[in-house]
Amino acid sequence: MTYKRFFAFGCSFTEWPWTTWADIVAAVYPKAQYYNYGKKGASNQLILSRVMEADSVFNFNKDDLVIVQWTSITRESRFLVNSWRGAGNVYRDYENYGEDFYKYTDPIDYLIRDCAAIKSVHSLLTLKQCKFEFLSMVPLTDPQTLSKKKVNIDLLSNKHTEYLLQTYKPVLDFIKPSYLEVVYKGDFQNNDTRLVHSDGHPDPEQHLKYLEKVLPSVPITEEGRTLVHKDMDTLISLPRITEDNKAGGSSQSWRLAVEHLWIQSYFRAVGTTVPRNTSGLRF
Amino acid sequence: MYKRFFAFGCSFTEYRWATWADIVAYAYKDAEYYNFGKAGGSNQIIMTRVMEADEQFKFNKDDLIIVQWTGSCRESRWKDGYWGGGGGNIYVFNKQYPKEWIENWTHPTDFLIKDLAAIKAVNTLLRSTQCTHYNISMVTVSASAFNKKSDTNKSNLQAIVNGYTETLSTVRPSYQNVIFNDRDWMEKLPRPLSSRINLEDPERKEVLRLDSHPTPTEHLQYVKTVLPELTIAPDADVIAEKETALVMPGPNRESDAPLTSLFGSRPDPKRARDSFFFYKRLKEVPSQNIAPFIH
Repeated sequence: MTYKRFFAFGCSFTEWPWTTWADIVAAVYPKAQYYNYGKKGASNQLILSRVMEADSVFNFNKDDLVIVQWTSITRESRFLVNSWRGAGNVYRDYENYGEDFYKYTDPIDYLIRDCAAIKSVHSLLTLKQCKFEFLSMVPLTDPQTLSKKKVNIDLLSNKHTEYLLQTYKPVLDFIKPSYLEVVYKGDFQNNDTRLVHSDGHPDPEQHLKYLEKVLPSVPITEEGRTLVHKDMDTLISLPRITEDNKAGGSSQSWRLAVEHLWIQSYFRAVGTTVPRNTSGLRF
Repeated sequence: MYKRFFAFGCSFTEYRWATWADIVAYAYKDAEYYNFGKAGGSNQIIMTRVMEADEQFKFNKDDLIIVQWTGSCRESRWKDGYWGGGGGNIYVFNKQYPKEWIENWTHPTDFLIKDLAAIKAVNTLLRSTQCTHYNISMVTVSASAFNKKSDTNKSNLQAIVNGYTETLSTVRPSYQNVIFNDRDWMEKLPRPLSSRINLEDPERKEVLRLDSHPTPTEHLQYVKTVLPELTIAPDADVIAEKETALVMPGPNRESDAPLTSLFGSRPDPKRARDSFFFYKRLKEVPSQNIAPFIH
C-alpha cells in the first residue's frame, strides 16, 4: 500500500526530540509527505482541534494515512496569547497547572469530553475515506492517572464511566492497546529501557516494540530500524545526570530537570532534531 | 415525513417557555421529539451531547436534527454529578471561577478554536448519517469571541475563523442578528419576565427580572426567517402570541402567575411550562421525549 501523505497526531509520545512511532511509520512510507502534529502535553481536546484544523487545511482523502495517538484524559490544553498552555496531568503536575486547578475539574467531565472527541475524529476520518488508526498512551480510565488525594472517585467502578464506555464502545474498541499496557505492562514503573535515565517518554526501541505489537500490518523497514538503532546508540552514550548538574539549583522537580538536561544532552550529541514537518497549522 | 426530531442547543432551545424547538416539534407532530438543549451549556457540551445521542439513537435519513450553537467563551463542566459553570459568557456572567483563574486560564482564542472544531465535528458526523440537518445560532460565531479581552489579537482570530469558512457557511444567521438586530439584547423592548435566584441575597430568594431570552413570538419569527424549508403549523402564530402574552409583564402575566410584588416567588418551572400552549399541545403527542440520557 502506498500513501501520498502521512499525518501523525498525538502528544509527546508522537512528537519528541528523538525517534517516535510516527517517525518509524514515516520511514515505512518514504514517498508519502510526512506531517507530524504531535504536541507535548496535548490533551485529547487539543488533538481533536488539530485533526479538524488539519482537515480544513489539507482536506484528507483516500490517499492519506492518518494515525492518531490518544493521550490521558487528565489534561487540559488552552490556547492563551498565541501558545498552548497546560501540559501533563492536572492532578499531578502542579508546576504546569498550579495547586488549585484540579478543584474545578472532574474526571467524568474529561471522559465525557474525550469520548466525544474520539468519536468526532473517527467520524471525520471515516467520512474522508482515508486509512486511519488510533493508538493510545494509556487506557482512558486508567486509575494511575488520578491522584487519590485530589480526586475522590473510583473511575473504574463509577456508573458514569460504565455508561460512557458502553455508549461509546464501538468507537473505543477501535483504539489499539496503549503504551502503558504494551510497553510498561500496566505500570509506568515497569520500564525496561536500556538508557541510564528515562524522562518518562518511551525510547526509540520501545516505540518500535509498541508499533510491532499493535500495528503488525505496518511493515517496518530497514530504514526504520536503522533510525531506531542509531538513535538508541546516541541516547545510550549520553552521560548520566546527577544531582550536581541539575540545572544550577533550579526549583524544577527532579523529573523535569532530567527531562530538560537529557534533551539538551541529546541535542548536543545529534546536532539536530529528527526531520519532521510540524508546520502548516495555525495553532 | 420525519420519524424523529432532535434539538440541541442552550437555553434558547430548552427554556421555561416555548422555543424554536417546540415550535418545530409542534409542526412535525408525527415525529418523536427529543430536546437536548441545556441552559448555560457551552458549544463543547452541545458537541458532546450530539455525539452521545448518535451513539444512543443512531441518527439516520429519517431524522431531522437541528443544532443551535451558542455563544463562545463559556466554561461549562460536568462536576460532581451535574453540569456546572453554566451561565453564559464567562467574562460577563461568571459566578464560579475566581478572577485570577479566568485571567490565567481562559482566552477568547482558545474558546474559538475549540468551538470551531466542535461545529465542524458535528457537521461531519451528521453529514455521514444522511439525516436532514440544520445549524442555527444564538450569536454570530465569528463575532462572539471578540469581547472582554483587550489582548486578543483580532487578526489571529480572523485567520482561525477563515480556516473554517466552509463549516461556518452552514450556520444560519443568528438570533443576535435576525431578532436583536446586532444590538444589545435588552434594548429590544418589551422583554419578557422570568424569575432568577438573586445571588446577592443571602437567602437566595428569587426575583422577577426582565429576560433577554426570545419570546415564543420571537422564536417563531426566527424559525420562519432562517429555516424557510421547514413547515410551520397553521395555528403557530396564534399560539405564539398567546404564550408570549403570558410571559410578558402586564395583566396577562399577573393573572397567570399571581405575584404580590416584583420580589415574589415564581411558579415552579414545570408547572409554568405545563401552562403554556405549545407544551400543552405537545403533551397530547405521546411520543414526546425529554433528555433520557445521563449527561
